[in-house]
Amino acid sequence: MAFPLSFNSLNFLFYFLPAVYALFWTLKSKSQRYLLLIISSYIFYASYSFKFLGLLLLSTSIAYFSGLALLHFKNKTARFFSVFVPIIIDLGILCLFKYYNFFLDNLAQTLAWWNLEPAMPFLNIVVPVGMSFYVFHTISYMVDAYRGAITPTGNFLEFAAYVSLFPQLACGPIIRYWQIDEDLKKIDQAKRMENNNRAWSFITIGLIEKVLIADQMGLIIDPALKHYNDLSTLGAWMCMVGFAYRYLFDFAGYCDMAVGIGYLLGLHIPQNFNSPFKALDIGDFARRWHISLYMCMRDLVYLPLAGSKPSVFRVVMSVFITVILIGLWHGAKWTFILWALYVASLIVLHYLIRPLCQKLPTYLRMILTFIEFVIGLTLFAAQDMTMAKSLLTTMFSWRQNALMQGWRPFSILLVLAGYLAHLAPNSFEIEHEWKPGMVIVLGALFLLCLFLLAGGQQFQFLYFQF
Amino acid sequence: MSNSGGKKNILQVGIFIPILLFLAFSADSFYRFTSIDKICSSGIEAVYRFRQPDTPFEADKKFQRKNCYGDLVYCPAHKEALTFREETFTVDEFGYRTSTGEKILPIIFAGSSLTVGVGVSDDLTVPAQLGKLLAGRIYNAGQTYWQRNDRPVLLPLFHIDAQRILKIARRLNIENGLVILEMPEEASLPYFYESELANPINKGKQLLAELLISLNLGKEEGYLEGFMRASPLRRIAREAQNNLLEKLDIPNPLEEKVAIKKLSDGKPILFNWRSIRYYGENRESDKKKTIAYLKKFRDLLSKKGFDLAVVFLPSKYSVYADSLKDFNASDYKESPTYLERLEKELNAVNIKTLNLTDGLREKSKVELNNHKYLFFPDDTHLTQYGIDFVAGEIADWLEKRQVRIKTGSEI
Repeated sequence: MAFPLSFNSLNFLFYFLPAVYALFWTLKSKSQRYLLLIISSYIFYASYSFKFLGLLLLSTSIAYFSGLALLHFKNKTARFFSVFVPIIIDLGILCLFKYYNFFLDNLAQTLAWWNLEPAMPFLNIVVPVGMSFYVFHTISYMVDAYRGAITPTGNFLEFAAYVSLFPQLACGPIIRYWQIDEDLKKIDQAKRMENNNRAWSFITIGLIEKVLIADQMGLIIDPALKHYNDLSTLGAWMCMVGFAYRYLFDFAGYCDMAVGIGYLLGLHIPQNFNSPFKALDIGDFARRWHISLYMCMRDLVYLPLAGSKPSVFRVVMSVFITVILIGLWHGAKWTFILWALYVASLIVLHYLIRPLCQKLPTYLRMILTFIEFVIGLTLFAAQDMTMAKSLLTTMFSWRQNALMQGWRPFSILLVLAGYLAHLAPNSFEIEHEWKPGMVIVLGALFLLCLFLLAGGQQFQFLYFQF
Repeated sequence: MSNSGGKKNILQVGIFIPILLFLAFSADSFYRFTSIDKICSSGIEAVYRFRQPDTPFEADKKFQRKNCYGDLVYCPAHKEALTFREETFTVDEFGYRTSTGEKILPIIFAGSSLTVGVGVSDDLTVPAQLGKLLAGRIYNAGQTYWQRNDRPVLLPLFHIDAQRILKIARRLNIENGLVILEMPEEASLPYFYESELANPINKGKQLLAELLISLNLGKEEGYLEGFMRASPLRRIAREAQNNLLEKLDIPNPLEEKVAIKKLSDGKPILFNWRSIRYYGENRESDKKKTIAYLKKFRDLLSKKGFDLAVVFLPSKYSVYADSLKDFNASDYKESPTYLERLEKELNAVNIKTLNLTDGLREKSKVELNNHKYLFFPDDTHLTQYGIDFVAGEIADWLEKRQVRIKTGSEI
């Protein structure tokens, strides 16, 4: 399609959102609203990846029928296979698109030592947008249904609306069925003006976070990181600290907009970021950053591995496996695996020396955790191992060089972003009942966002790549 | 919801922000009904806006401006290469660029925007200049070659095909003539359209366009497309942002849309990345598809008594690469180049070709000493020097190869 319908595009804000909103409140019955959500979500998805609509429908159908089978079967084995087979299919599709070429590349490199070549061919494929998110929706639904945490729905429209829901389709949050089931079931009873102020406040804040903070930092960071070998030590630290804020406000901005759009459609989308840069240790950080992924991996991987009374060894092993899987969820790259090993080691270290850490002043713990994150982000954000190594070497040695272009406005942005990330309340902690003066300020910032978007400054959300 | 005096307070975020959104939307929509002529870089952009489904440009449109500039100037950083020129661009009733001249020669000159002429006026394009050399007028059937990310929303892609050329010939009452097809080096054309047409969405657009044309609604479809695609307000916003970024010394992402280089005479020159990427590329797949397409093209034309001659125009980068200050001799690509291989294989299937790469390279070096340029420094298109040289070369070649051209009186 010619115009991808990203939240931060004028096509989305001018046409798509108002059209869906108007139609949604014109339609009255449950089925009509489900259908509208499905159609609009599929249009939204098609604007990125028309070819992969079938995969979304396939994943939805598999999970739906798995849920029906669970409703039908009482036998343990039958119930197990009703979930096991669909999950294998879902994961198989995900692995094919996301990990096949990575696996083959590494296999080829290994076999090359013995002058051998793999028999399988490399596939000319791209990872469909949002696949990691919707596959996790369907898998978590099946597992939750198998465990009895939820009752599977018999209504295909409701389920398809849940999986494809456009506010969270491309970048999450990974909403669990139990988190939204009630809203979906009562979608015909939603009240239009009930959360109207809250909705627009979330949308405005999200857009400001994305366009005025994350994207403006990106304008300076991206060109600087392209020439990472020329960075000075101070420049490298500025870039990576800025990158940390950019990552936060980019993804949190998206999630805040998703929450706001959800409110417009009578849905409560859960919090995905809880001021992660106020975390006191890396474990605390994990519980505050991308909460929905953390909860999914905790419930689906960590808890089953660790069990109810785990030994230290079992905790360590479970942490490592879970975090490595989180790393791989982001993509098939060695830098993600290295990042995961780094994070898992830190979590284990903190677990072992927790009493000692707790004696440190709160602000120091917060700063240390943030620095740990920034170092990890260098691995995470690097294009490859060479870039990661070069950046880390520059950061931990002394290299004098000119600062990157635009460092003056960047410094102001760093201070502002730092204040908002470390000290200010997050969007779920504020009341969203703004005084008129503040409404005008928000309006002016909203217009500034539109002006920047109109001028073509439309940066893709960073999490789209996952 | 708080009320004051029974009236709704608009200073609530849930009311104020949607109002602002609506106002911004209205302003954007309103400005779409205004002319873009004054903010276009050149005529081709202005006349393309409201093209109808079956024409390359908006029929009967006239564009005139004294300060047109290059299509590679995206932001202030590129302005060091900026040059201004006067341009008059007139479109005839069939949607093609016109030129003056009474005696119409039985030659149809098809091709890209290099044929259409950008930054020069109607009577100074390659077909117009060639016409003067051959003592007549040659019909300019040039069109824009849009790339994948520029594809229209509603309209089908407008592409060069033999049927279209024959349609022009019928309108002009030309029989047994010559079709000169200009092929730019840097475009994956003309086969690109064939693969695009295989896409069901494009097929759908094609059918819709045919239906609307049969209902005499082609013009409306063209207007709708133009309103959807071109937003003057967004263009103005971009300009304002460009200036702001420059003042704040913030890197402008648009800067990377083109490569800024220096010629050996010190003059800055801009190139699009595509031409640099394609420089010396093997492009075997492009070659095969192009040959297959041109064979079909030639066969259809010859059935109706038309000859085909293909003129290869190298990209600006191919012409100037070894005249650049930072050019590394090891970057120089040895023969046979993509165009040379293409030429050889087309000749083997009896398609006449003229490759202007060497000629333009040599001429560019000579002219560089006089600070004259064959391509605009801020644009991908030919200057008047370049056009005159190309027209002269084609005229010589037609004469040497004794390509038969009947005079207008013989038609």
